[in-house]
Amino acid sequence: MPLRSRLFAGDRRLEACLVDDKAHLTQGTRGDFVSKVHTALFLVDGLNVDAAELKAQLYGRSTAQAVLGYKRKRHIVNLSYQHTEDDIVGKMTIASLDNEVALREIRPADVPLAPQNKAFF
Amino acid sequence: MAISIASNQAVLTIDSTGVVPAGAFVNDTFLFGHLTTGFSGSDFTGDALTCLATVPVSGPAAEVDRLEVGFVQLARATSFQAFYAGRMPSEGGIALDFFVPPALNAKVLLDGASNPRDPWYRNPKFATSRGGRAADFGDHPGMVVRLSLQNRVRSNVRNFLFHCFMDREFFTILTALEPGGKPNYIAHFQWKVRYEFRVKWRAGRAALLVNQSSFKLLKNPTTGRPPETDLQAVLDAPAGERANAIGKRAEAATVTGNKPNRSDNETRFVTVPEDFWL
Repeated sequence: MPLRSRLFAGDRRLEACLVDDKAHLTQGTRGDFVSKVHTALFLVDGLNVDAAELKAQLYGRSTAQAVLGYKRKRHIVNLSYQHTEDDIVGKMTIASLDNEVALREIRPADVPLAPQNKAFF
Repeated sequence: MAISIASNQAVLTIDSTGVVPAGAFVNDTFLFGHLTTGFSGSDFTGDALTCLATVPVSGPAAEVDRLEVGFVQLARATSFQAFYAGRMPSEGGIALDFFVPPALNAKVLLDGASNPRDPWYRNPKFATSRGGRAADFGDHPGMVVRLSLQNRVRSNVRNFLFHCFMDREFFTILTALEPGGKPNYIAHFQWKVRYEFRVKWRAGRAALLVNQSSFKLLKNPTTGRPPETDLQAVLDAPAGERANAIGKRAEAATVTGNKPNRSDNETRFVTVPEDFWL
C-alpha cells in the first residue's frame, strides 16, 4: 500500500523508501524529500532540527538525532537484524511517520482563544 | 429655565506620559501589544492614557443634579493583520486580516469598558468641580496575537508569527446627558495607537522582537462633536454592543475563518527574513 498522507503521498523517493532497503534515508542524504521528513518529525513529535539542515534539506546529525528520538519513543526496531533503534528512516519508520502525519492532517487545528477582554479596543 | 453647559469653557487635561507602546511574549502562546503603564507583564491591569475634564454647568438644582457628564468614545478600526511562516519555504505561510468583512463589518464602533450603559464608555460618576461638573477617562487599548497557527494546506504543520500590525484611532468625547435626552457632545480629542512588531525565532522560541509601534495625539481638545463624516451615524445613535465584544468576535472569526480574513498558503511570503528561524 503506497504512502497515504498528503505530505508524503506521490513522492517517488519516499515511496521507494517504503519498499526498498537501498532507498533508506541515512545521514548525508539531501533533497526536498528530506524536508518532508523534517516536517513530519516536527508535526508529530515537535522534534526540531538545526536551521542549517532545514535550509540545506540535509539529513544531518540533528536530523539523525530526531529520527532516533522518534524511533525510541515507539520502539521501532527491525528485530530480524537489530536489537536497538537506529537513526535511519527505513520501511517501518516511513510507514509509521506516514500513518501519524495522515492522522494529524485530518485532526482539526488547535486554535487557542485569546484570553483578554482589553485585547482589541 | 433649562440647564446651561458652557462647552467653550470645558477643560480636558490629557495625560499620555505613561503611554509607551511595547510588546511582550506571554506563555509562549501570545504576543501582547501594550502601552506599558497598566500592563503587569502578562495582563492588562489599568489605564495608560487618562483624561480629567471639567465643564461649567448652571441651571435649576434639581435638573443639574440629574445631569450625567462622562465620556463617549468611538473607535475606528483601520487595520489589523498578522503574518506567519513555516520554518522552511515548503511549510507555507498564513495571513490574517481581522478588520475586513465578514469578520468585521463596521469600521466605526462605539467603545466601552466594563459593560457601561448607553452611550457611555464607562458609567459616569457624579462629580462636581467649582461651579460645574467633572469627569474622568482612561483607556488601554491592547493587542493580542497568537505566536503560531497550524497551516491547513501544509498538513497542519505549525507556522510562526513574523510580522503583525494593528492601527486604531479613538475619538474621546466629553458628553452631557439629561434623562431622556440626546447626548450633548461638549468637546473631544482624537488619538491613535499603532502596534507593529517583527518577530524572530531562536531554538524554537519567539526570541527577538522589533518594536515599530507608536502613539500619537492627533487632535487636541476641541469644542463640540467630531466632524468626521464616517462617525456621524454612531454619534447620532450611540447605543449597542461595544467595540471590545465586536473586536473579540472578529478576532475569533478570523483565526478560525477563511478568505479574505484568513489565507493559508503553500509557500512562504517573500517578506520573510532570512534569519527568521535559526
